[in-house]
Amino acid sequence: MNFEIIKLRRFSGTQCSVYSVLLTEEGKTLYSKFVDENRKLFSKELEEIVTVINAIAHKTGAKAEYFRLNEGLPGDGVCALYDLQNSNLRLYCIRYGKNLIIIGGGKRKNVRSWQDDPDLAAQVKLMMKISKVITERIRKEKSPLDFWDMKF
Amino acid sequence: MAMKKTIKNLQPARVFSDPIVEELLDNVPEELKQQVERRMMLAAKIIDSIEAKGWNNLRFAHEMDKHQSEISKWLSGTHNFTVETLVSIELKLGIQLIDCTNPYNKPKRRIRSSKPKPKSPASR
Repeated sequence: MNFEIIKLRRFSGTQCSVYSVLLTEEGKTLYSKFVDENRKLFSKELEEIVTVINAIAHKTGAKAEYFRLNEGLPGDGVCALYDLQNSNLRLYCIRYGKNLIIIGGGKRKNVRSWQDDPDLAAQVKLMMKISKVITERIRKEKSPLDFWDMKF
Repeated sequence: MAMKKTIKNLQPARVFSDPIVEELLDNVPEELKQQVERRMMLAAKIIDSIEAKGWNNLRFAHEMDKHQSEISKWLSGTHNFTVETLVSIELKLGIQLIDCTNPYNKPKRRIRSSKPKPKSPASR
């Protein structure tokens, strides 16, 4: 799977830079796939989620409290946006402090932990893989963490 | 031999306009947008105030006599606070979250004069 870390133009704010993962073959980001797959059943939740991300980018930054941290391996930054009230639609991200996040995909969480749902597990494992690849690239090339030339 | 990339040779991440994101954001009702932003900014102010006091969230939970899980919900940016809870937090942290006392924010009242209005020349 080839992918590229891209900066989402609409979410380029003063408080936080928001990136996503562009799947090269499909020409779609993980986030837009998440929206596409859930827009029929969860349109209101999606409106709230996109507003939350917009507020993170432009108003508040990516405060740790807005996320369920440690969804992946210790220290890999994989987390989930805190569930909205009365909603189990889960969006997975990688958080690098309060000024930079990568938003990925997700789906409805009906189980106690993501390991119990194969589709949810696939989303989390993908984010874990991406986090690992980014970390290796940064370590190897000593490049700063604003995703210079992040094509994989 | 492959040349090792230097920072000078690297390009920053592409800026990408995702039409699905743009369409979704453009169609969010203003009321929902304001509700979500206010909840998050409220949480942000509380988080910053906890930090300013040199506390962590566990200490704040203890001070408020609440379980940490409830504090996590409060600070998540998704919680609808009651006025009672906001006042308790204000007192504990020494901050203001609800502001209805600023005289400059009072709505303007029309004051009716008790004196009869003088008749206009056309009506005399």
